[in-house]
Amino acid sequence: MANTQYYYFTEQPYTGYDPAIQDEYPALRLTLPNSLYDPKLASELYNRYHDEYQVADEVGFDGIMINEHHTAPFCMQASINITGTVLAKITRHAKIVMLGNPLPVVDNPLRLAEELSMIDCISRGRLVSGFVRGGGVESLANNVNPAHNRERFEEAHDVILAAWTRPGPFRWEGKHFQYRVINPWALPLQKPHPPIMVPGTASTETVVWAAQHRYPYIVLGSFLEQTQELIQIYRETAEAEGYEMQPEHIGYLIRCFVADTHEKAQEQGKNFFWQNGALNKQPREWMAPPGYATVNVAGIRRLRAISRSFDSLAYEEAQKNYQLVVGTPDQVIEKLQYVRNLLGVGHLFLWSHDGYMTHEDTVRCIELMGKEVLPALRES
Amino acid sequence: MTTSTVPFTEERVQVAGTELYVLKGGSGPPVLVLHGVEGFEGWLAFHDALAEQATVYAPSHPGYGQTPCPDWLETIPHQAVFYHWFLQQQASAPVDVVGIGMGGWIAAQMAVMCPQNMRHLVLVDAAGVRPQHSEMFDIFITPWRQVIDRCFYDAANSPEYQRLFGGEFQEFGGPREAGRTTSMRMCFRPFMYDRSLPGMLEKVHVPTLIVWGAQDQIIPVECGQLYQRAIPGATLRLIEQCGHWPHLERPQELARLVTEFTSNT
Repeated sequence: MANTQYYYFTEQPYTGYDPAIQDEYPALRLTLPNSLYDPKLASELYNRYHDEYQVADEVGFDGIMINEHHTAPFCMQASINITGTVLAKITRHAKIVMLGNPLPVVDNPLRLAEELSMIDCISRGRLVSGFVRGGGVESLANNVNPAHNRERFEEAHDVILAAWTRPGPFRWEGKHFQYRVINPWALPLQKPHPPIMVPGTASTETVVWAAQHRYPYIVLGSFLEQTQELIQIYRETAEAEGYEMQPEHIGYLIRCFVADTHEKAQEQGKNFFWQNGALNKQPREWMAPPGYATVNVAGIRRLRAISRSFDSLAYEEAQKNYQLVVGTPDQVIEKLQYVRNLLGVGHLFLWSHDGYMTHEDTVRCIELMGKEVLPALRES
Repeated sequence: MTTSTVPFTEERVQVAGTELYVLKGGSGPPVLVLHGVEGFEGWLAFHDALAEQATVYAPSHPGYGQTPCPDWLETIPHQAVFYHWFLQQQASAPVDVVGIGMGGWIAAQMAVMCPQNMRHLVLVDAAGVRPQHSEMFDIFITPWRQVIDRCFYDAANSPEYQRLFGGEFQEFGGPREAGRTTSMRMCFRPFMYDRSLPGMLEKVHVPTLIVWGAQDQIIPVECGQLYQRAIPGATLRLIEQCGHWPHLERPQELARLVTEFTSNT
């Protein structure tokens, strides 16, 4: 799979609090008091994470994946476009892969189209613009009606595509968005528009939608078996749409840390568990508020099972079933090849930093990836 | 109370292309009972008590499971329009209207729109007005079981609580999911109020009774006072040792207050 692309990812965790406090709150989200947030530490962390992105760019990653969450200490990116703008200026070659902008929580998708166009121009055409529905809690955090989630996702997408590709000025009279004039004086450099990707974990609706639009669908770390099922849904939808799914249509995000020694890697890899099962702990009303998803009890239970299972697995078991790949370059190359080839993905996202990993260990991991892991993967 | 003493019938009434599911029982002046976010829970002890001296109509709102939701119906005022159509079609207007919680908001909106269809208005722990000195409890970010428990002052001693919610509770899906979705759709933002409602109520001259559970932990009693201030001549009565759902926690007492009011004014 010589054409597979490799991307670096960190959630940019805010680590200045004790995850054990989750016992006192419904979840490490939404109502966790922000008096626990120290802007001085955040300032250091932002800049540190940006420095690490520069290393990833220099050592030869094809792209850098970024994301966005709200009222979420595990992810400091309240605006993916701000990180994207920073990357546009501090990196030179890597694609800026947004997975993605949560469209339903945006009240002005035209403004979003303008910002993304600016990022594409400033980065000289390196933007990959992913779009997500966002978990239910993102809607609650932004006070956007969860019952409108899918409708707003689809209509905001249509507004952005029209703003990018249809000569203005024109009017828009939609159900959720209306504009007297769509005529942005900021248009994307890439034509007809920046590539679009759609990530997900379990929603079959989203896979089908992505396949219908021929957008690459990126599975965010679900179990391999579940991932294969989602890919199969993409394949079948593509066939129904009259085209054949290719590796470039699918991607996978996998947690992967490398170090010079096996012992070091194993010690640092434990950081992927730093939240102590917090993903497992979220009220149904936050994760999937009534009306957020098509009422599919089995599907929602399954979604929940994924986050629960990962956190409760023993460290070794997580490695055995490829939720986590940790080791020296030689050790991880073989495992990553196996996962890539099993899934047949054209995009492999390496989640290579989390928790309390130090700057030095993170940089070393990124360097080893660039010098040893990526070249070996590209050759095989 | 698990068995009714007053017989009731199930009816499916065509209202502008939507089949409204309604339970009907008793005899006497017609009274329309509008449920709240708890959804349609069948023939209640409250309906039964009320039906001793009235003809009770207890519908499932559009979008709450038993009645489908027409595509255009998205707000509380839309519900109010729908129920006015129903009343006009039944040719029994004016009728008494009792609205509970969110159903109280629908009833108040009906009074704003077409008071001549209404003989009496009864608002029970009603949503719809924004409190000035307190907050409505956010039921949309709270696990549903906790919401239900919070709606009672003393759930353990409420037969209706035990009958409806005492057993296993389905967390996802089930018959209540449609109604919870419709509540979310209609009431998420602004949360459970229309800032114009008090102003619009000034010209409502329907005899109005406001009843509130004195220990309502969902919609503060202050909202009852605001309703009383907004509707000319309205009376406010508190039920002691009672939470947000008097129709479930104090069904006999609520029915007595309603019956006294509608037969004496």
